[in-house]
Amino acid sequence: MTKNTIVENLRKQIEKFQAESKAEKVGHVIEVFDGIARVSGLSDLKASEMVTFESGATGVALNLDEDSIGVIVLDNFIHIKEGDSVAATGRILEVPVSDAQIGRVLNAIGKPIDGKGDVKATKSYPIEKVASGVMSRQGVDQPVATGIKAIDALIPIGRGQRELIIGDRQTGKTAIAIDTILNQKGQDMICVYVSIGQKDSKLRKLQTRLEEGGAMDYTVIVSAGASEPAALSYIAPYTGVSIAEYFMDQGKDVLIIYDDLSKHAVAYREISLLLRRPPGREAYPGDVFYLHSRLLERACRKNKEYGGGSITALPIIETQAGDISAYIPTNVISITDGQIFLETDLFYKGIRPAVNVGNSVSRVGSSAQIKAMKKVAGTLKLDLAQFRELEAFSQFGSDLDESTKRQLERGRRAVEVLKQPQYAPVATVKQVVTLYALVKGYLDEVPLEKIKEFEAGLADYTERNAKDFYKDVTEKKMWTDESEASLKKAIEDFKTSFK
Amino acid sequence: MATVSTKNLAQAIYESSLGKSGRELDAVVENSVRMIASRNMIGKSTDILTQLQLIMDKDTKTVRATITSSHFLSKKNTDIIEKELKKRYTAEQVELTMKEDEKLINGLRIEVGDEIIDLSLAHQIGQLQDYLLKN
Repeated sequence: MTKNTIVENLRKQIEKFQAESKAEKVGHVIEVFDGIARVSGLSDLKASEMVTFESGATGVALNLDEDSIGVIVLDNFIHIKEGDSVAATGRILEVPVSDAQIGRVLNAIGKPIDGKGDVKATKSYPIEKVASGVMSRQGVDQPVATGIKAIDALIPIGRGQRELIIGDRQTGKTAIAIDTILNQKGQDMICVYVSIGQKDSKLRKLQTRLEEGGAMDYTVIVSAGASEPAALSYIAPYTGVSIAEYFMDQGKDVLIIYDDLSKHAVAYREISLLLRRPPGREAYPGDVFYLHSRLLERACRKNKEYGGGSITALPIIETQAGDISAYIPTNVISITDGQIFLETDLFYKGIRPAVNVGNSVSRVGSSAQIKAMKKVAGTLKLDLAQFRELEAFSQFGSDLDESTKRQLERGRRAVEVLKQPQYAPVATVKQVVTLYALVKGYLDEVPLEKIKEFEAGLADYTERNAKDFYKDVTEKKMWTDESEASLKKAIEDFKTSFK
Repeated sequence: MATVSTKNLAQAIYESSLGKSGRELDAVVENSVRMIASRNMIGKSTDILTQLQLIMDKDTKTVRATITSSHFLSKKNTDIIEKELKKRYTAEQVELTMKEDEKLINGLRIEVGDEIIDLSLAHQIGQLQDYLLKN
């Protein structure tokens, strides 16, 4: 490009430019501390409106007081000085949304942080949005296959459901979330993983794991790290759900994971206390329930007239010493449509995933379970509960009748079957085969320590020798008498050959 | 003791001094100072005075504007500005504070409360810069 062309281009651009001179409302920083700025002036500012500081930092107005405005600063607040001018932008806080965000790691305001360059976004979604109304919704009737036997069989999750994953630290909460994302490959699901206040090393590990499993092809990661201000942790889940809504509006099914909402509540408490809002129980502000209810209410399944998309939410809550009756856990339990309760004791007993079946529930999920799974897993939850009771009772004496012994043996095998290593999701049809073998008593004579080996061999053998059954369950979601007969034969054949 | 905002205090002082002059006004001022001292709010007297000024300005329809210009403005120009401001803010009185700032390059900037009307060349150049960067 020659000098003249550059000058000519510049001239053309400048010719189109028209200077505007209009009255602007401007405020001034009264004080700034810990990511919060108190600003005077800006009398026409709206709630949640974005403002820009003289230093170039952006913020969001949270408190509109009589004489001043409480602003949370979204960038580095170190360069903001007392007396700096603050300008209103006229825009409610919004994030860029685009298909190009898939496979990327974004920060809480939607900017990429993975070093792979900018994301060109043509649209923006406000981060605070009223959830879909009653008339645009539809009942949950499609399953989300997590690939985890204990969940798919006993606590099924449907598309559009909100299922809480709750447990102490190091009990495998994130592992369930990652396995679920990994299992969505080829299931026509977009995944959004929101990391709130997590260590950067943990996020990097997770991203690498998802990349290795090919899951980044359909996943967006939104992260507000532990070293970032509380303001970013506070807005990160709303950013995540806005991105999820963008895909839902295209009629797609989206799975969103909030890891975790306990840290989100702590971040909001920090902001609220700094903004001098009155503290309530455990020093959380009065609207901490609304903080999570408005977020989780945005998960929904839309009816066909509204595009038919869905957002399934899997919020995670970390408990302290298994106390699920603390403030935030009870709030989120009451908001969600069920919970997967993970226990430290089970985890260290080697029962992994450490799901406590008795305390876990899915309130809408069973209607989203496929017929075949419903049939094999129908009584499993009750059987397991009875087994736990019998197991505790049988420890007092050795004189047990035959039927009790049988029930105990069956229970032990059920527990063994539901154990599953991490990053090894199992296809729904294979889960059905294993559970079928279990409930029909084919595993009763298999030694406990050989159950895993038997299960793996059975899945391979039946896949080759009971093709009708696999086809029926995959396509029609239920088997026929003929295909069931072929499966029975395959199981018996395999059992004879298994040593 | 219930907390009283500086705004409420200023409003009370203003209302109690309305229509008073001479000794009566002196008594109001003395009582007001006593009350401020009894509430340990002497340290906030600047805030109270600012609030009092705002209340008085609102009542007397007075607008206070700061005009920053790149060079000295003639009486003719300030009269035009005063007239325009009276019209814009439906004010009866306009109090102007004049400032000079070479950084504006040319033109002027008017500040009224939290509102700024920037008619300076420096502002327009800034707009042009943003425009060129965006396009």
